Amino acid sequence: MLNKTAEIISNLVVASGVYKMTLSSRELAHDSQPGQFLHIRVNPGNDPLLRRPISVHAVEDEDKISLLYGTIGRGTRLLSKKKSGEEIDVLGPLGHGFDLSEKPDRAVLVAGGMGAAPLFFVAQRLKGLVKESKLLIGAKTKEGLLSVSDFKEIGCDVWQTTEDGSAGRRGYITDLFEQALLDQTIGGSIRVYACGPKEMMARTATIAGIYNVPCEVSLEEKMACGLGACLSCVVDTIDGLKRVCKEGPVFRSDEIKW
Amino acid sequence: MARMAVDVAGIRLKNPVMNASGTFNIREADGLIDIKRLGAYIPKSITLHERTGNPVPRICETSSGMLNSIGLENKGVAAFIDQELPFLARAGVPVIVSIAGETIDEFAETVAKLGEAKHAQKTVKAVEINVSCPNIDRGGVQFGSQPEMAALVTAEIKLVSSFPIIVKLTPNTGVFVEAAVAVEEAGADAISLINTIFGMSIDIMTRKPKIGRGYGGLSGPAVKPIAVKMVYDVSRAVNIPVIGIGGIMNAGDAIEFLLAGATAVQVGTANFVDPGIMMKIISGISDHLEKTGCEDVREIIGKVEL
Ligand SMILES: Cc1cc2nc3c(=O)[nH]c(=O)nc-3n(C[C@H](O)[C@H](O)[C@H](O)COP(=O)(O)OP(=O)(O)OC[C@H]3O[C@@H](n4cnc5c(N)ncnc54)[C@H](O)[C@@H]3O)c2cc1C
Ligand SMILES: Cc1cc2nc3c(=O)[nH]c(=O)nc-3n(C[C@H](O)[C@H](O)[C@H](O)COP(=O)(O)O)c2cc1C
Ligand code: FES
Repeated sequence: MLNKTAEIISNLVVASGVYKMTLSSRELAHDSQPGQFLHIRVNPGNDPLLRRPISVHAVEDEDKISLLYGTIGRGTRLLSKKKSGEEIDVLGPLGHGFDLSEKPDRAVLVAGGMGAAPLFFVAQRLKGLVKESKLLIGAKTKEGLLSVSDFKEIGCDVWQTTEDGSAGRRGYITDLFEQALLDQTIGGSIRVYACGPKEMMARTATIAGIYNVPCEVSLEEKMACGLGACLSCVVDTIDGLKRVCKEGPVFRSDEIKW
Repeated sequence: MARMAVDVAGIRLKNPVMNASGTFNIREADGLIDIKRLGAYIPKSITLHERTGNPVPRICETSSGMLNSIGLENKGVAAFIDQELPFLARAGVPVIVSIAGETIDEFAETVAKLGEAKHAQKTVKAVEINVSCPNIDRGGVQFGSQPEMAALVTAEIKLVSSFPIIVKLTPNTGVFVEAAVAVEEAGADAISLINTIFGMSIDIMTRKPKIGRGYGGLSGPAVKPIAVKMVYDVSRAVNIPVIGIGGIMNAGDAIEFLLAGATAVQVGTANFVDPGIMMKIISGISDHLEKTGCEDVREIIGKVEL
């Protein structure tokens, strides 16, 4: 069943306006794939009405998963008020995630802001199966560089940028992307997994295209059903319109008409 | 157990609950509901030719509701016949096909094509004529808000097909009762209402509308009282069955429509909130009948006490 209730184990602030919620669910821990999302009903009433899509951030153990989310508006603020022991209504795991069937020698994860959320799950799954996982992570300020210590803990080589220069190099993370592709300390095949603001992913896609490396991106679009029924969440691709909730949220970057 | 069956447009439905067009896809509902329990299933509106729909964002949430401007994205009637009908033929649920168009000819040609399709006569129990879509430039609300046009579309479709016809009306007009009476006279077998209500939402920082097309159609619990009143007015003005639509979130809401005069109901936006909701509404209506000593759902239709 896609529709289920899960008990909240914890819901803690991890950075300014960013929360990590851990849910107890053997089914979700077992079924979730990196890049998939949960469609969460933040309260049982009619307002706010729609569910909120949030990516699976990590599988903590065989019966726990976690989410990493920013408080943007009413829905995510309500979510941040939930206490451990409460149950929430989730639909999921939904959508088509990252393709991890082929393991590259070098995984390059490109994260912008909240985009770190789904990429941690990718790094988790690739751990030990690739020679190197490099995380390129960019944010406006130092506080926006999320989960960096977690990525380091599972062995990722972390490169950082901030727009204000408060940590890492000043600038955009895509400034480092080319350098990361050219870095031949460890040779072999490369695959790129990206999530962040649309402009960041578009730039990442262009560079990946120039270097001819396979690149996947996780897209966002406003969603109602989350199930492929309402056609709210479409994106234009070389094969016509596709649904971000169903054929996505993860797409090959060369498939998207940016 | 109270009897739940109702007759709409010459079809016997095992209960009065179906989905509203564009809000539920049984292909994507695997394991979420028992499709065979639905009174009927209505796929998203189809048109003569493929339509790509409107730019994103196509939806935005509003207070207890949402705006949408999908713009009737669909692959066209030929693809529907090829790819969907064979599946629907095996789905084990009565199918009502929703048809939209920009001109009278387009409506008629689409219905005619459907009528010629191999599986159609067996599978398609009725067509629902969507002369009320607010998200296309011609043929939607523009038809439904003019009684003469709505009647003309109905009459032309009657000429080219043997399917029972349900005409889906728009709330975006002051003359919806007149439209209902006109389509009844033109041969409609039932009326459904409401489609969505024109609405707009603006981002105060960017000063831009929150949906790509600028405006869209409002649905969800916010529209329910408007819809109940319209169903009440229309069901008193015509002799054909009325299907009530608009903001139904639970069995109580559905019962309100039945009391107002609806013979059946459609559930739309609620499916986005809880994809299992139609099953709960069916059971909830049945429980209510039992609790209030009714043996047949038809006992409560139109029984609002003024
Ligand atoms: C597949 C997918 C995965 C996501 N994963 C994460 C994640 O792991 N962590 C995280 O912090 N955020 C994630 N987001 C973004 C998250 O869904 C929005 O931040 C959230 O819906 C905002 O809701 P709100 O009520 O707080 O904001 P409001 O602005 O009040 O929301 C109003 C409406 O707009 C929608 N909306 C607003 N922002 C977005 C957005 N960026 N994308 C899609 N819909 C939006 C809301 O769902 C709601 O319907 C994801 C989005 C998608 C599509
Ligand atoms: C996302 C969305 C798509 C819709 N698409 C269609 C459609 O293709 N054809 C149609 O007749 N009505 C369409 N509608 C209108 C619904 O069928 C229904 O009339 C309306 O939403 C009111 O009911 P509700 O408040 O229960 O949603 C759509 C509504 C929504 C929200
Ligand atoms: S959100 Fe309904 S189709 Fe994607």
